[in-house]
Amino acid sequence: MGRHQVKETLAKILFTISACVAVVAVGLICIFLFMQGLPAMIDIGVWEFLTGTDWRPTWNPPQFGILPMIMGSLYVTAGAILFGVPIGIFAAVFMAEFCPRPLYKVLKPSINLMAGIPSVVFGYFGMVVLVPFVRTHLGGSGNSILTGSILLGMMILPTVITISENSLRAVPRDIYEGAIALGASRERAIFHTILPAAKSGVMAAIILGIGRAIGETMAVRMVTGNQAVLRTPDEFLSGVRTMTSNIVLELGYAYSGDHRPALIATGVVLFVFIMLINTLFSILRRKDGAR
Amino acid sequence: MRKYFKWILGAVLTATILTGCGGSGDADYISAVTREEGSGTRGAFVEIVGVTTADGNDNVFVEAEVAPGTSVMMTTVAGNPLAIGYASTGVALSDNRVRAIAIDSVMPTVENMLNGTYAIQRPFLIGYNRDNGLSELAQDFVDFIFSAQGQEVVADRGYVPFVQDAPQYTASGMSGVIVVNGSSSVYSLMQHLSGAYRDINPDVRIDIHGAGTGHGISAARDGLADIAMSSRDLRESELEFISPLTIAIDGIAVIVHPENDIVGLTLEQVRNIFLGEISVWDDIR
Repeated sequence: MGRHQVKETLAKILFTISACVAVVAVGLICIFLFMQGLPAMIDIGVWEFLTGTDWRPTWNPPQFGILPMIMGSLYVTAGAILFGVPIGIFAAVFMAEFCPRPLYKVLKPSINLMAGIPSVVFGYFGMVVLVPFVRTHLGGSGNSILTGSILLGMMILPTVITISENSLRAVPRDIYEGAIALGASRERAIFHTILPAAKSGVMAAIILGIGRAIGETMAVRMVTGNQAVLRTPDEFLSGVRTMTSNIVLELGYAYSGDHRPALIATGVVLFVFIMLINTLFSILRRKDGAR
Repeated sequence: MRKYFKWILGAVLTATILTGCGGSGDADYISAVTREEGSGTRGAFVEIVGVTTADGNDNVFVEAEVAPGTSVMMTTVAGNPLAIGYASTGVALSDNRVRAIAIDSVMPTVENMLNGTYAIQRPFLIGYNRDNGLSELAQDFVDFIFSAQGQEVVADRGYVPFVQDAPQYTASGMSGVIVVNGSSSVYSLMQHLSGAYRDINPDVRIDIHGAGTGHGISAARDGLADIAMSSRDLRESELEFISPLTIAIDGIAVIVHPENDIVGLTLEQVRNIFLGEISVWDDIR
């Protein structure tokens, strides 16, 4: 075997191992979650666990129903999409197509900086700025679904903007020029040719935003009030507890009976949600590619 | 594409306008703020005030906001003129962002806790593994806590010392590491105790973690901590594996926003607020 081949084989092994680390990590997390969470879920009763509306872990006998938390996660995530996605996409269009160079030089680094702000800082900002704002202008105590949605909407902006902007820039320029040549205005050409052409990238941005929003913990638990109550969408000024907050609020204390396994089982449900989102994403992508 | 954006924008605007009008003119609803399930402060508060079901289960009403940790509790109450919450007196009395109120016309002061007139008070405990006992070093630290010097630290921090006429402590000259874990309420007192101890025995390192009462107890059970800190009486299931020692008495102050003009409440009113049976400030003013 020549020196060249040895190098080749070594490199191959190194790269294979690197690739495997990620897969093994996901596999281990999966095994750990399901091993610890599933027995508790079966013990409590899968149906009771998923559709129960009472969360009373310290009661005797305890009640573990996580429907309020599932809905809580869905509400704040949907709210975050409502606030974050339109602003994010418009911002991306602006940055890719309309932004003057000097302004871009300020905007781009600020968005990158925003992506690096720790979530606890976002949470504190929400607590001292957004919560009093919502309380004085909209009513309620301020710790609400709405506040959480606005804060999460802000937190997913960097993700949505950066990925959408990249995919807008990746669209071949001839499409745009073709539209202009056919007599379309600049705005029309952008919104009717470039944006649709970048659809899969924008979708990817939205899905990643959803992933970030549903998994966010620290900031959310500081501004949403954390009441484990089943809400309807019109109660968006009331507080809510998300699945992530539920886990982190009580994990430090949970050491008796089914409490800790029930919290891990909440993690299993969250994990399944994220898997569903990712599957949805790849289905959308495949459809898009086939066309 | 444009059409959809128009729709979304329209919907957001309508929602904002509708709620903007609906929000004003409401009665002053009480925003009850509680701690998370498992917190020692919550456990003690619920037990003493009686916020329980007939068979003794924690029954803080579900609409109460949950503040994870003492600091979030203080910030939440400090930021909301309609809020009512509770926190350890040692913390609540030294923070002027909130105001402690009288319970049954008694203010939560050290004198009132010593003479037992203030209703909401609880022990600060330390505990150790029943089977393994205390290590020689940890025993020395515990001896210090129960000495005249240790109890002086307790009194200096605004808590009520549990031991009267405690003996003097003399330096042991030991070295090593002691791990302490548990209640975030006891945490700051423990830090001051540890500081005073290390002034006498500088070769001892004391690692203190304030992960919560339940966490500390399970750490002591599993041998991960020498000493557990608890801010409530131990449950029967916990007493099977932990031996408790009371180091101080702490009150729980009921706190409101400084702008709130309420002077005091009865224990009964506090109970009904946290059960969700009183929901408007005008009902108790």
